[in-house]
Amino acid sequence: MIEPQIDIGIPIFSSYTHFFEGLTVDTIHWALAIIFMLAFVSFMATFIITAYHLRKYSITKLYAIKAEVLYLMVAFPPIVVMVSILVNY
Amino acid sequence: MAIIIPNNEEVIVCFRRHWFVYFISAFPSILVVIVFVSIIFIAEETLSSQISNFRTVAVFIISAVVLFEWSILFIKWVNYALDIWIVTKTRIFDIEQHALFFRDVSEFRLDRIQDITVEVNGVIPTFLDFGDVHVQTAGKSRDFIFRQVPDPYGTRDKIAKEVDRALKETNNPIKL
Repeated sequence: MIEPQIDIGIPIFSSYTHFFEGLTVDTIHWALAIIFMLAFVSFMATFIITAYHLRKYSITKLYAIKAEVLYLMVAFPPIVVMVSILVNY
Repeated sequence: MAIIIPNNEEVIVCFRRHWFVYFISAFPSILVVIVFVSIIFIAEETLSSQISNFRTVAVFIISAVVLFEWSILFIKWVNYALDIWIVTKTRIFDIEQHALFFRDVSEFRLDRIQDITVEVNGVIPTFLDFGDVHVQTAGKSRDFIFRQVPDPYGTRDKIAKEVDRALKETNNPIKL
């Protein structure tokens, strides 16, 4: 099979098949930590802002609490997976 | 109802937009997750030779994308859920949640309603039975549009019934 060669002008990325060859384990670890931080900050910001709106404006308080619990229940597994990978990588 | 509606108001009916409206706004987020997972599976053969423990990294990135898209879906759902119309015995509350920090609440008396028009425009609204209900009030005040409500003809009938009752009560007030 012929290997596709696409030169995008950056020396270490001369072909997409060698895109990630320069990455060390440390670099990947740092990249994962930054991705986790961004994801967690967006999760917390979403939770705080939506909880505020739901508590203030939804027709009943029970409805607001159910929605918040649902959000946390679905968000919990990806956070646990990310933390366990980050700790053990 | 204590959060929005005054305690002395008796609520007759509440309605939101049709679920299809939420589905359409949520669809891009679902598509992003599907495309992202597909790209990672396709690129696995190439990238696994370059990145140590590629599968672990892939699971991590997919989890991050799922969490991020779930947050977007939830924000859209909150906007959808807080966008509501409430008909009480004396008035209609029109609460439009355009975005998280953009909210528009108005109310008008049932006995001021003059005309109710239903507009169902398009193939999908016709088959899924949703459309706009235009409510015209007396005087110089603006008209109200209940957008993309499910069962628009039924909604119009319910509002018309309550308007008739409110008009009767206004014309023949109960004497104590």
